[in-house]
Amino acid sequence: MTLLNVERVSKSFAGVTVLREVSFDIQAGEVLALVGENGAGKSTVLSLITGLLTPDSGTIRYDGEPVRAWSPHRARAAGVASVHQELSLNPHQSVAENVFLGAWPSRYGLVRQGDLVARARPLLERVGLDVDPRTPAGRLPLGAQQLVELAKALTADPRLLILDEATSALDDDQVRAVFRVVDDLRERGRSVVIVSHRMGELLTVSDRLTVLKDGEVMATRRRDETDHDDLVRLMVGRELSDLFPAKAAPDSPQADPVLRAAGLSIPGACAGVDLELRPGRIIGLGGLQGQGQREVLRALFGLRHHSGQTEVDGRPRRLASPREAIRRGIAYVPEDRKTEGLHVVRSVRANLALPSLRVLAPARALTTVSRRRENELVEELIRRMQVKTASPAQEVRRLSGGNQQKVALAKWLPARPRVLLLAEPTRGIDVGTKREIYHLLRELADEGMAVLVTSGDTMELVGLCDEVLVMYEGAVVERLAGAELTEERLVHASVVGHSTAEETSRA
Amino acid sequence: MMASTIRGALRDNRALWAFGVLALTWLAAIIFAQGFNSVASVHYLVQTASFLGIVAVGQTLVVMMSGIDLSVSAVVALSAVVCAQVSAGSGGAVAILTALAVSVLVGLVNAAGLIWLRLPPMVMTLATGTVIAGALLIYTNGSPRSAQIPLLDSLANGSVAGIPLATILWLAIAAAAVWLLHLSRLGRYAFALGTSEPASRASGVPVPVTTFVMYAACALLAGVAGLVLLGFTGTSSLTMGNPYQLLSIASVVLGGTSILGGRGHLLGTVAGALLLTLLTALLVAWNLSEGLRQVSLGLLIIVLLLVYARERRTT
Amino acid sequence: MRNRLETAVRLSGRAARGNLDLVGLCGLLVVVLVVYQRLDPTLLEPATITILSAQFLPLILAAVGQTIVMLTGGIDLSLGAVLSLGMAVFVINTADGTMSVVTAMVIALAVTVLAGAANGALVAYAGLPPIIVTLAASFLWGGVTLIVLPQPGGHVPTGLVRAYNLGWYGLALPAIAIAVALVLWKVVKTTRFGLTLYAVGGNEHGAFANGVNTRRVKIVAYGLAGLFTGLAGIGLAIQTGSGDPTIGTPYTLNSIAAAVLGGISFFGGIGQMRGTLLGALLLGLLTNLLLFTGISTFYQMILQGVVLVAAVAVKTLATRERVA
Repeated sequence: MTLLNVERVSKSFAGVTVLREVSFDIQAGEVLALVGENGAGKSTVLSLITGLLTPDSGTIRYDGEPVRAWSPHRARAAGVASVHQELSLNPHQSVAENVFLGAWPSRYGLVRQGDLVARARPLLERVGLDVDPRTPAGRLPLGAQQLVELAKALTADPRLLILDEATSALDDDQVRAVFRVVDDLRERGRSVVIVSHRMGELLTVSDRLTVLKDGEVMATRRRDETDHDDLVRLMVGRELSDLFPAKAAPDSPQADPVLRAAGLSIPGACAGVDLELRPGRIIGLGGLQGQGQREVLRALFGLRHHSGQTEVDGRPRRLASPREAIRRGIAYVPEDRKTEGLHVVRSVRANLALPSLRVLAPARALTTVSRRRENELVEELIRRMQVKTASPAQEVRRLSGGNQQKVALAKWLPARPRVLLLAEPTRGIDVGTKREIYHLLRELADEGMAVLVTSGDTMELVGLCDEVLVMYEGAVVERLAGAELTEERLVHASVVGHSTAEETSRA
Repeated sequence: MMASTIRGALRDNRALWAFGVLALTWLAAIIFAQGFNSVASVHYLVQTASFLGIVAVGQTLVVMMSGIDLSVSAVVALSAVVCAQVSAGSGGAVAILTALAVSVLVGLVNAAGLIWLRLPPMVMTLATGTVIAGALLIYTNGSPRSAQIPLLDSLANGSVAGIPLATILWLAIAAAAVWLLHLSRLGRYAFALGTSEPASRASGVPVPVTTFVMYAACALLAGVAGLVLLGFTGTSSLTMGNPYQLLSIASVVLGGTSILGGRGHLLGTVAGALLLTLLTALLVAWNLSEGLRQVSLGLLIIVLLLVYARERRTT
Repeated sequence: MRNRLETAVRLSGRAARGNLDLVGLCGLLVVVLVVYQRLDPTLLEPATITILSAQFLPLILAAVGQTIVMLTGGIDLSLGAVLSLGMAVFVINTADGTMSVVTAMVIALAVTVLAGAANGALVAYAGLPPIIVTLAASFLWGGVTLIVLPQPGGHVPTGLVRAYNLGWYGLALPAIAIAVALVLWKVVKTTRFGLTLYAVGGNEHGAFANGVNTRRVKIVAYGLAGLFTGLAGIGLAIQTGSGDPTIGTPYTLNSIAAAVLGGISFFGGIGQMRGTLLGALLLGLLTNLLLFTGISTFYQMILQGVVLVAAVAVKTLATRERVA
């Protein structure tokens, strides 16, 4: 039985066609993946299904009936639930309160906390989340919060569940938990639409995959008829064999480390981490999500109090604030680019120029900024990074995720940093831009920069890095380089918490 | 397409809106109310607007970096009272310098509270304002003095080529503030801080320096306004600053600057202060009772804000 | 397993720290009370309790109103004006006789609720930040008050004033009024609306995306704040026995101070009403304490400012994430 039928639907904004005669359908008890690069029209399609937008032409049938006056409210009432990458939790309320957000069960108008907690427990169990429902949601790691979102979507027992990049912040264990939920829904005749940049996940969980490119459906394939390369070809329109650049020659002479950390510790986050970042090398920090990788980066950039030795060029230096870190030639591209990485409501120009104002207006702090030099600098960066923006005056939040990430990275380049710290550099970014960023990072390394990357994507770490340190409960438990650096070894160390070579027990 | 572009440009140039509304209001005042068409009335208006205007310029510097200074009213009184008190013993020049130094000190204390104690600006400046008000009571034992300081008297009441000196001072201050906020490096930092503090920190913006300079400048300007007021009235009082607390913020916002920071232009504040002064004068000219005047002023501010100062939805 | 245990320990540690500032506030309050008792041994006698609660009621209820608004992530700078408005409407409508007093109260509360709801509607629909809306509204409601009651005056039945300030058959009426108001809040807080209030304050967009009518929540919240503010105004009128159109002004900032002292966040969604209660009590008691110690009342403002800064600074520095 067909649950949802999208027939020749078109949609345009301000004269720009975003969707052109898109057709696909979802059967009851089926999992459909929507695949495509950023800007291919996936989110527009989802907005049409959830009633946030109405099509210009074409029809959407739900349950056999053409939908009329479809709205988020009606869609929800008809059993459509969605989980997005952007969290909608209230960090200050408890997990239980969040699970039932806006629809708290009450008796005589009063909500009883005990009742909430009792009702939340089975839902949390279903998504594989073992937390006290009374914990404030904001205290959970990002991945767990995303699972709370999923639990929230399940409260209404949806007939159609939409997962929009809902696994982007999850580690492998958590992804498996989500897939169990998806499988369970499928068995009970419910349907799921899933959007993700992680192709491997889609090939595991979905029954069929619909590929979108530039607002048109390129193809819909059954899972057993397709593979990774086939999908990428459809999405990009060409082969993408050189996703990752060539690595540094393993036996090339190693330069002295620019940045060295010994015994780096942050209470409750990491302990005794030793790191050496050398020019020309890209080092990865891997492991399950939330094992202290993020904190290590933040400590090295002076955003987090830490103890332990830090040396720059062999001299002990305290990295107590971002300004000190920047003065020592360290740059940081945070995973949370919308709050820490960029001023999203300011222009591309303002963002790109901000770290370089000292260069644009030398001497003391009160000097005039040269407009001409600022414009030259900004134009040059936009050209070099191929940032797709209408003009330098465009607000950053109007850019696509990939272009935002390019701006967050580009703004550091004029200062010629010697160490580049990146957290989740390609999260939520399409494969074309990913490739550009990988190649840029290698280029920068070849020019003599030392690069440190954290990522939850094992393929990325293995493909990009010269060496990967695996973290587990705040400690480095494995260092993989050269031929040892494989996805299997990496995943094993991440999950087990010690290296494959020495199966000796850890204290 | 065209229309939306124009709308967008207008929305982005809210300072221009402020000048437009000011021109229209002035025109309406000349046509519909009596006594607004004489040179003398213009002279008086720009003179009285300069007191509020000077405070409001300072307030703009702080609001742009997403702060707020509720202590300006106390600083206006502080500077005038201290000046009057000191001038009795040590003469005008020393008194003026002392008053300005004390004002700057308040600004520095405000900034220190924000940076080192991490207080929200509203709490910190509210607290310093209260402390100053109490300190003034003790300092003057409840009865502040009057003072005749020739320099301040001519600054407040004199004119050059028909333009009040106070207004010239105000415009000069505004010009300096335009440079500081819109052309200098520090101004860029203030704008950056106003849009996102975490992103600014992570981009190496010198948060302490920016905060110190902007809050000190704001307090200094409130102090200057207090001195000009002292010259204008010849006497100091403990409550002389009170109207400026809310009106300075209203001027900033009517001038098109976002109260959330990071958006706007300093010149808009000049228009905002003139507009508020004009509206007040109009309401007085119509012989409305105190209550009706306040109601009308409140409603007018709300309507004007609805017309051009709405915050853009960020979704 | 070990990991989870550690997490649990860490989390409970943090939870304790969350309550720590309330505990600290309580401790401070006890110290103040002990000193107070020394200076005024009658502190715990019914008469003193009645007088003190009559004196503190306006600030406590005003702070409750401010807290409700702050929980939504807003702020009410027109609170003082609305308080005066409630007082003015009450005193021009009262005459001797229970019915007349009750009618006057209902009218006054209706007016303040409407004023609050109007603020809320502007915040919800106009796309203007609360600080600006309520700033302009403070002119508006202040003006309306002056039209209703141009000069200090009005009349409150003497019997009521006596019963309220001196006790009524041994009952401290103001204390009972405070208790009733707090119970009312407790009930409101446990309703769905109460949870929505916190939800909107904590993540407005998230609440909206989950089908919460955020606009209605704001209007109701500001209206509810108007209710408590109106009660504060009526209390003040009965305590002083007359009305004054500008007496409310200091309550705007004092209510914010009490709420902030009590741990209510400016950004919404965080804080407990009991904290606000403690904050308001502390502010009131400290003021009185100065009177007793014979220090000039001039120092009172300085102390208030210092206490505010110290309390908030200690709390922020103790609870913030340790960042450089």
